[in-house]
Amino acid sequence: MSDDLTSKIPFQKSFQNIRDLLSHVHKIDPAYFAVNTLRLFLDAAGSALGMVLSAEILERLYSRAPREEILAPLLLLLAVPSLISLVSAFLWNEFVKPKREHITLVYDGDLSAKFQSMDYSLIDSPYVKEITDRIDKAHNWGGGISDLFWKSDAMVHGICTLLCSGIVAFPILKTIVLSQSPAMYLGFAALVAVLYVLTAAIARANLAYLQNLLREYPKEVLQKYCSFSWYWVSSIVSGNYHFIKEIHLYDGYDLMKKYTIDAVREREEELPWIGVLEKISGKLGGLQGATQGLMSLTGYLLSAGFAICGAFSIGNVIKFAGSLTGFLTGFQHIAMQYDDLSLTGRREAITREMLAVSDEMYKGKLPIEKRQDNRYEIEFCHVSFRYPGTEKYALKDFSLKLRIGERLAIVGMNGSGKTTMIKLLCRLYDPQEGEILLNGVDIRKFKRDEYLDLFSVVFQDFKLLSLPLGQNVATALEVDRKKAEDALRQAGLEDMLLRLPNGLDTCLYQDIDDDGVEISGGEAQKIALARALYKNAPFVLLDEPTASLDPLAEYEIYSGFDAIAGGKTAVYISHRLSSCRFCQDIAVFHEGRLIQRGSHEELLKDKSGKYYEMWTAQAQYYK
Amino acid sequence: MKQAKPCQTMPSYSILSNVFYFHRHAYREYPRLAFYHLVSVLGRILLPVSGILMPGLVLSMVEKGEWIPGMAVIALAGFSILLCQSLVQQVQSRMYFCENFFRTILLNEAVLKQMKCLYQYVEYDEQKNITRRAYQSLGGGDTAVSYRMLACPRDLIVNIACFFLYSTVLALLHPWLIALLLLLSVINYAILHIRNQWQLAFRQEFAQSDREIQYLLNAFSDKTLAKDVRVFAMNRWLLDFRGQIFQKRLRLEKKNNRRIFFTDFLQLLLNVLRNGLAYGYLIASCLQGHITPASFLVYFGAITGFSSFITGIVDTYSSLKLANADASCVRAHMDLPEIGEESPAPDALYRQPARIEFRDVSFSYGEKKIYDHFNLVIQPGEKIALLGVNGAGKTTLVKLLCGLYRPDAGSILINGVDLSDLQGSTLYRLFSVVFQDAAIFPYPMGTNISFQRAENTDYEQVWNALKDAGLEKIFREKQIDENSYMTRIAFEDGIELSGGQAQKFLLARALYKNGNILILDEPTSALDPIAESEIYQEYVKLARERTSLFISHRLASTRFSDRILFLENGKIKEEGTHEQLMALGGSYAHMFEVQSHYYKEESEDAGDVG
Repeated sequence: MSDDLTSKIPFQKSFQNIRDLLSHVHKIDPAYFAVNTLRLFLDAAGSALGMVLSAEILERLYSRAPREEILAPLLLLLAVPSLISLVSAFLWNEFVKPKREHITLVYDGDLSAKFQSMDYSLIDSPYVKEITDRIDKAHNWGGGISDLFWKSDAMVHGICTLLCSGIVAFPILKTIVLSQSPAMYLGFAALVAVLYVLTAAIARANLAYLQNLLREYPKEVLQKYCSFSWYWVSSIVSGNYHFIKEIHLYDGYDLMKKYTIDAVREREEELPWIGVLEKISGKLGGLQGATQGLMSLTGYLLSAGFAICGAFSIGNVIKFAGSLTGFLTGFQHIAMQYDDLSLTGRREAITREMLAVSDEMYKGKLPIEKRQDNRYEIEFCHVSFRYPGTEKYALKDFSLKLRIGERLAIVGMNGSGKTTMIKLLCRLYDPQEGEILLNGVDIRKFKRDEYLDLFSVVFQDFKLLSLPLGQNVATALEVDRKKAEDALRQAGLEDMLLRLPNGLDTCLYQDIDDDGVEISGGEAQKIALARALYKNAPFVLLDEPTASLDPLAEYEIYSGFDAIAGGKTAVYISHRLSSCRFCQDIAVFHEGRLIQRGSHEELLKDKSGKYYEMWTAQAQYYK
Repeated sequence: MKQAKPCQTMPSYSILSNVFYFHRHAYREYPRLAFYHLVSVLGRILLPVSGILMPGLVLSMVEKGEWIPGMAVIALAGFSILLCQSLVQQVQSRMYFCENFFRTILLNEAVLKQMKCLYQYVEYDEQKNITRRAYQSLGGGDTAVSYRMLACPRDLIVNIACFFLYSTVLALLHPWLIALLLLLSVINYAILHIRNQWQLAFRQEFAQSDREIQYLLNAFSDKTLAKDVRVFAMNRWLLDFRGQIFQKRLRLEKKNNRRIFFTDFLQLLLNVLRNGLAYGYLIASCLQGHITPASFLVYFGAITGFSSFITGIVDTYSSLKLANADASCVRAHMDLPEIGEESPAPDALYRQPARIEFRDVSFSYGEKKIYDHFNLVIQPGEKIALLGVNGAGKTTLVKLLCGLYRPDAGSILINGVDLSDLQGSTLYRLFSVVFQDAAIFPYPMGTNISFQRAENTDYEQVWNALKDAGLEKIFREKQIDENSYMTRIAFEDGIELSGGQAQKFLLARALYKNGNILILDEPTSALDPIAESEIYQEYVKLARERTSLFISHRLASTRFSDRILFLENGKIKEEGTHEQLMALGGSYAHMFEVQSHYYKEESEDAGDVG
């Protein structure tokens, strides 16, 4: 693995990561960092001011000043920090929080949207899978853009605190410098040294902690103690609980136990990862607590010491103690946060790597000639194709011509290349050898978007979204309602249209709307068909559109097929050979080749042919 | 047996009982967690107090002006705080991992629970919502319900303890002062209460927005959608929709934040008022010499910290209430009734071949009545084809027979034994079923067939089953052995099967089990004609000397059945052999005509040609 997040990387690289991440966020919302920094500065300034003013009051109490002189700082103390925190609360609620929300939505949204915008062939490529895998692992324990918010807040807050308390603590620092006492210098140097050692110890503990947090189990251990609880949970949550029947009927509880709780417990027993993390993080926490304690102790001791020496008044002890502690803490925060922030930068660099995945497929330049008469002709010329990462050809030296306005039925055994042909036709993949021609021109030369407008497809595993019915048909937010209703009617959904309370505006399923309708597999198939009709493209491709329908519903679709196809060129894939009877032309695929082609009657004459074999296998039961 | 209907509303358990439940389980898992919790609570009460006392101590030491003893006292006090702080932070860091592992354990227990509870609860909508919420609330670290149920009570104790501690200290100063502070606290509480009410009003909208956003993100990363997206140029649509819901979310966020800001503003005013009065009083008493400047500082700190406890109590309590709703879902899920242990059954039950009888069975699914006084007898060894349009109740019949559903009234008998008295695997052992929506699990191949742990699996039997299902050859060719993981869910190099192979694999699972009654639900819809025909022939072999049920939309399946049952609206509309039903000319004949139309016409044509 190129970057497993636990290896060391040079400072420059990690700085670069952070910078890139910040500029990525900056691009989403240019004002965020400015507003948020202002807010954090106000917070630090407000508390510093509060400290100064209350010290002032204390000072005047010690000096037994008259009541009036105390009134001024008191009023200031009541008014100014409150005002500052009012402004800060305003910035937070009105700008920072919504901006964060916006940035998070867009950031996460862009990552998931990437899957639908990249080349189809890339989605399952090892390259993209490897990045996805790394993203998942990086986000296993936290991570994501919210990490950046908290960590950069802590960093900026550290800087602001350092600044503000530095200003307040300036006199005490000056006193030390001006004291010209070697003992004083030495004492301060010793203190700084102790703090340095502690900070370094924390940094080491922190690094050890992070490395252990990101550590992975060796593959053998994962294999041995495989736990699937998350897989089951996400299945059930997304509505797929059907597998539970099998657990019941096949007495699979004990095996399930092995792959859930037993795996988790036994793995922890063999490699006590949680136990190790607990110890390491405990050590880190203890060190941090001790350092904080030490810093405030230092603040008090130094200020008290100076005050007893008479370097400044009693009233100022608290002010200096507080600001000195703040100064040291701010310093330490900055040192500490750097590690965490660089890890965040590194994690999110993988996300940007994904966003930067560039398409490989040629998008084409030629426009598609718009023809009213739909005289488009497609020809496969000696096409060979293998799916990426496989040895076997899905299509081999495959040639086929689609005749204009005709209906072609494609039949063949499972895995004979039928669906692959559709995928190549829709340019989901490009063939490795040979070419596909549209009116004599290689389809790769056409603008892909325009080219795809030529096809209406119902894939075998089509998907509908849990959005309004009309939008599903139109595949857009704006729906031509009349056209959509016509398409639904033509697909045989008149009843459903009448039944739905909100007609086209009714959501399908209940993923985002409790008033959505549950639809049967058959209805879904018809909606997918309506979607293809609405698009009204010159080519209609249907891949097994009746698999889940009962015979009556299946027959409806068959008989409506003529109307659906109209004058268009249509390709129809089915295991139900009876459906071939609607097509003048039948192509038989076998092991990635076209082996027979002709009308039903012609093909049936060849008694040694594949078609005859398949036909009799099915027809024998219907005699 | 009367159907136990799951509860219709969200479950409610008292906060106390849920807090107790989660703590008991957490301490059982990690006894040391009790110690961590104790240290953390004590530390969080005492450390802030020491933070307030310390400046006073320092001041009084400085006032005395004695070098050695003064510095020694400060160093000693500071050092003990340091130690305390170090201990508390160590414990709190450790706590996180224990609680997180505890969450994992709970989640695993919840999943296992669902595999063991009565099946009817798995499918009821109300219960599905509760269970889904239980799972969702167990996801994610700090937002997990287990985490919150452990943390909120701690926070509450800390805040309440501090509130009383500080109140007492300030009351010692002057009773009126505390009266004033309490009064202002009540007002503060009222403001917070209003804020919470407002936020509660928005909660539903936020939840809806979360749901939409989550759905959209999933849709975008859904690979099975990818083909449609490209061919129908759906990306534009998805992005437009995304723009819409993002806008909606941001508007909601702003509206909500403005209200929060308003209450922030009110609270701030209240703080100024309280601090003004209290500081004024303190200054006055200090000037009059009632208190020293050092104790002025201590009181000053106490007053400044005071308001945070009220806010803390109110906020913690309302998050505890929210967490409790989730916790109740977890409890309701964990309290579901389970299938009973295996119990002795009369030998007659397992007599082969089995006789099945539905006697006056009624069953409703939710509000919908599926079966009303349904009667059916299947003779020993009979091969039944079950037909009907989508939604006729075929799968429900199978589920009733297998005991996954229990009838509302009437009884189901096998070999004369009433099933309602039988529990779990006593009953399940009878059946070999392949369901339409059956799944291949991400287990190794061998255990995936046997559904038992490797040590309880008979691998010879596994290979026999594969052979009978027609998969052995291809598995041997591809060098798939019993330890190869199936599916790519767990491992990249897992075995993926094509649709037809998957069907055969599921059949092999049924064969391995070798149940007395064989049930196949739509096993051929994804198969090509030859594979379909193979399955039919295999079925004929398997069903020999066995009572069997075959559900299919492919009417071909009726040709080798002894009897066809045509279901419609929960009634057997027609029954008999193929020939009888064709002669009857009813629904079955119509359906068969429709499907065989083109095949038949062909055979006549072919005859002409020949």
